[in-house]
Amino acid sequence: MTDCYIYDHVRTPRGRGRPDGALHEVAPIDLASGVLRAVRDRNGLDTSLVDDVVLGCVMPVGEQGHDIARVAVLCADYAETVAGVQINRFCASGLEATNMAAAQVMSGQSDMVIGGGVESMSRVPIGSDGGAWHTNPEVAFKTYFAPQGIGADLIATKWGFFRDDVDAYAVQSQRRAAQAWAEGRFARSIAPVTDVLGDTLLATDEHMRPATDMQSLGALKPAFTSLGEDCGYDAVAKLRYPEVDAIRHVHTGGNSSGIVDGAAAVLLGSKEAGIAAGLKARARIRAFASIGSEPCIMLTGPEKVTRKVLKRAGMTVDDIDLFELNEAFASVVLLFQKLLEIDNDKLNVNGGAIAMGHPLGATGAMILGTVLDELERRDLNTALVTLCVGAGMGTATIIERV
Amino acid sequence: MGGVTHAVGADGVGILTVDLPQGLDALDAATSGTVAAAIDALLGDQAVRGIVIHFPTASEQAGGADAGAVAAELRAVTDAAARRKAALARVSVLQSALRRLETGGKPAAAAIGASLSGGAFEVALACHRRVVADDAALRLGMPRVSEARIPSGGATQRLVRMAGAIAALKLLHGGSLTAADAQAAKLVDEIVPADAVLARATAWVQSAGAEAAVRAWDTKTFRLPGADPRTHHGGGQFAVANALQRKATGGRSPAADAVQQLAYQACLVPMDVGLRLESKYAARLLIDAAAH
Ligand SMILES: CC(C)(COP(=O)(O)OP(=O)(O)OC[C@H]1O[C@@H](n2cnc3c(N)ncnc32)[C@H](O)[C@@H]1OP(=O)(O)O)[C@@H](O)C(=O)NCCC(=O)NCCS
Repeated sequence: MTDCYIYDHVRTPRGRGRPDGALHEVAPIDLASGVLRAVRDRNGLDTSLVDDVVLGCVMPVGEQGHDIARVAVLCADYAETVAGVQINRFCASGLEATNMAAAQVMSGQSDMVIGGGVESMSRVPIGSDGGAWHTNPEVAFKTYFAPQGIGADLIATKWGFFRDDVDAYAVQSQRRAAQAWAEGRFARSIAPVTDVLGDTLLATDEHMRPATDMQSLGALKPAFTSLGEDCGYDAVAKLRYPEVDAIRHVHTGGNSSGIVDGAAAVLLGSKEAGIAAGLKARARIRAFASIGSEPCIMLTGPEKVTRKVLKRAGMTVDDIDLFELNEAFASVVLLFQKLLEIDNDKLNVNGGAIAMGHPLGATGAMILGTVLDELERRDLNTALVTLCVGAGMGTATIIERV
Repeated sequence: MGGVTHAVGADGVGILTVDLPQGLDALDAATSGTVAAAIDALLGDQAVRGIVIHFPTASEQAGGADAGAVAAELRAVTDAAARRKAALARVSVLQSALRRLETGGKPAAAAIGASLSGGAFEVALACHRRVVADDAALRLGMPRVSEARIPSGGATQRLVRMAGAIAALKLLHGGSLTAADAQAAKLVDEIVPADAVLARATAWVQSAGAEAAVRAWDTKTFRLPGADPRTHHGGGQFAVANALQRKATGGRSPAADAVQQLAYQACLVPMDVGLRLESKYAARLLIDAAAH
């Protein structure tokens, strides 16, 4: 098997995913081609060396439709020979895209590939793609479909995380993100987004609220009570989990991942490809995996896929220096931490999607980059990146510095 | 009098009177066969240029009347393929006659003098126009779905295409509407004094042109009313309707599940495909009942 190395990564700052967000005026194709241009320009990359661009995108319809990866390649003025493919593993799409890109290299079928992702949640909102899972009655019934927020509240109920627990986690996310920004820990990887005049539209993550404390969070209303009670989803969840009496709705807009716009790109290749392009490898992809988990609760995949990928790599939890788990909802992280007994100082050390937002298709690639930057800053070696995934899945990647 | 009778007036309007106080059950082969034969007779009669189906009395179907008996009959058919065929034939008698009425080129109006539920309402839904008596006590709707049966006279398809899936599902799971609410839901065209129902329906048929004998869903310009599961908003509405169905049924009603699925399919396929699916689901429920 060929080793696959990470040569570089860039991401946009994340804009609030609303019509008043800073990136709303930017079409998703421009977010995607923007990070492709950035990764080319900062590495002086001869793009004819790139075989393929794999981009995650979770709502690949409308202006994110038509294989946005290939169209972004064209818009970024890459060599015409660079192919592009869009993939969807829901919330882990960005990481899955880098895994699939790495797989091309590891299998010896490509030399240099870009993985990444894009999502403009302000322009192509969640749910835009329809799909059988929630709308087709037989499918919804068979899978006990309930939205993610219900799964998050179900996790909190089942494993005994209370409102104070999830809020405390959210405060920590905000505090860590604020500190990371203040100390410039993200600076190396951020490609600011500019407008048509060339002025900077956004250079920092817009969703953050550094002043967040327990009191301000405590005042927020649970976001999923009505979905649970009025729309019937608590009943669906209880049919699947009869041992749960009443679902405690503890998640709010303050302890759930933010709705944001953004894109990311990770430059991957074989050792030889790096030499040919005059690049220095920063890390090696050591192992990756995906797994299925129970779809109704939906968000318990990260622990399972972490065990799977560790086993595949012949490693244990203790061999990992830093963990990065997407903060889809606070309870997802608390459960992961509890089940795998992970030290709080090793997990999401620079905050995550609760503070900075979760641009669905891009997040996996973003946090892979974040943790690589942090490994370098701390001079540590190994990191495990994972995300919970819609319909009950988990995806994970282990990287190690070289 | 009473029962199912038909006659043709000098004006060329065929009057089919459906006077079934015990209700019309699409699974009742004898009565459904009589209604079907009368429809076919009027459609085939050169002298008939339009049809009024008159419901002078209330015809309310209690859920599940015959399903057990039909299942027992099917049990006697031991060959699986033959059993499927027999079940399909059984559930299709009324539905196929109503589709012939709907597409037969002769304008048909329902003159509804009293409450209808179940099969009789399905007959009325297949007409090109519904004229209803102004009576506050009158109700139009469907019986609760019960174990082995779902509406099989086309209601799962017509209600969705007329009123939209969410409103249709409320009726299909066992709901009814006043005449005024049914009119607001686009299920009723006209509300007139009780003694004028037959005359108004007849007058409409007399003046109706050929275009009046075509349902919207059989034209190229048809636009589905209400929730469309292919859209962002409609998909969300469907998802919630699915969850609320779970809350109401606890996942214990295959018939309620079939109704939900047929309402979904009704949004996505042409009428004839939807009707075929309705028959198949109805037949499958009977076959499953026969297996127990
Ligand atoms: C939870 C969720 C529904 C909240 O949506 P929302 O209500 O639109 O969120 P908002 O950002 O408007 O926050 C709600 C309120 O909390 C306030 N708020 C949010 N974070 C806050 C914070 N840290 N401190 C103080 N107030 C805060 C907002 O100001 C807002 O108040 P307002 O209603 O007075 O304006 C949404 O964020 C969500 O769905 N997140 C998960 C996304 C998802 O499912 N991703 C894919 C699967 S992981």
